[in-house]
Amino acid sequence: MNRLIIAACLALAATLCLSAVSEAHKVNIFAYVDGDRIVTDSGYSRTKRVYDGEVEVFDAATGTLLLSGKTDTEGKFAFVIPEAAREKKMDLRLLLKAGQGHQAEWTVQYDEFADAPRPVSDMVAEENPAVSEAAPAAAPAAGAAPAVSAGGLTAAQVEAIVRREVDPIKHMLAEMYDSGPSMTDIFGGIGWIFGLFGVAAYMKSRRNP
Amino acid sequence: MHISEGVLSWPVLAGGAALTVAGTAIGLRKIDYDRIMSVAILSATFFIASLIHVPIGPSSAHLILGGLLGVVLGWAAFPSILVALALQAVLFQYGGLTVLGVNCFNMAAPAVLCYYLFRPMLLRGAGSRFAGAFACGFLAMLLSATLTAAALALSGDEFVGAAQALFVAHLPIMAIEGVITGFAYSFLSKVKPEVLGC
Repeated sequence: MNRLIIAACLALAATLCLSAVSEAHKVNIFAYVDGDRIVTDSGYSRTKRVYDGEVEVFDAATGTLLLSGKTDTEGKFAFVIPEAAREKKMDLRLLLKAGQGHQAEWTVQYDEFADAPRPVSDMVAEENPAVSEAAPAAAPAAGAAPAVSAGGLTAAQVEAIVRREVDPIKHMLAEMYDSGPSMTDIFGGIGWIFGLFGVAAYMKSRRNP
Repeated sequence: MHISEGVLSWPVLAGGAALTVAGTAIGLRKIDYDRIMSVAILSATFFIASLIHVPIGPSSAHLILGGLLGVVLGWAAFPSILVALALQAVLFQYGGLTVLGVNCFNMAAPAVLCYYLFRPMLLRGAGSRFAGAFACGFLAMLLSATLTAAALALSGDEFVGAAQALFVAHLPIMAIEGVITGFAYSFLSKVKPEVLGC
């Protein structure tokens, strides 16, 4: 009997160590507005990203499909804010289909992108990310140039700087959203299971004394 | 192999729920209440097993230990798995409450089937014990993957594609489950055979 108890404790300890390094199983999608685009970040966990998952963008009110695309190896998919969404003040519902029954969704409210800048030019959607990527990099160079000595920055430059500063915070939020179950959750769950079966055993034992 | 909320169609969800209710009712009637703590411990094991995640390919796969539950518990696997899945849905948002019926049936039905298939072989003797338990763990997961693919297919996904993807992603896990089930069963039969009811 003692051997069994020791063995059971060891097995439980080993399982718990394993679960501490394990990763979350559910799939998550998180999205934020970045300039004229909306960036989506999808993952099973912090390290395991959704590769080649399908993201569909719907009008949250009517359910009309606006556009769709695939996530890259880092679980990211970015798209230019659709003109129709601005005009009709839509909330956007993003649906991630990661395959094999894995699915998650995220809503981007109209308020979040209402004031977002419009695409710089009428370029095709694929080329736009490159443009907005280049903008923050160009900002410091422009800041050191006459614009600062003249005592002011253009609105676009300020936006670029703010975006660069806020970017890490957005990534941090995305990571927090992806965090898996904590130790408290796991122990709580085990407690619930023993509690429920304990109640069942108690009820049964009262019925047949 | 938790199917997420909103993937399956209503008829599939209702069918899964009905089957799980039936299975759970039979399970509750068949539980030997003197052994209720083994049901609870295995339920907790199942609850933890799905946290042990094996990264494979583009998807996400984890242990289930359905075969072990089935061969030890028989029909009691239904209530045992249902409780663990309900808590996973509520605490971790794995799966969801509407898909609980389908998810539970997909894991518990193969467990019960394995009980009937392998029980006689496992009770026969020590020689075939490890092999039998290995096959049990392996087959339970294979059948769970097949049922999950079938549930997805009934809701519109194409069956062959979903089944292939699930099968390939879970093949290494089936082997791991087989080994774990084999060792766990042999260990229990040596140390505490009354848990197994032999």
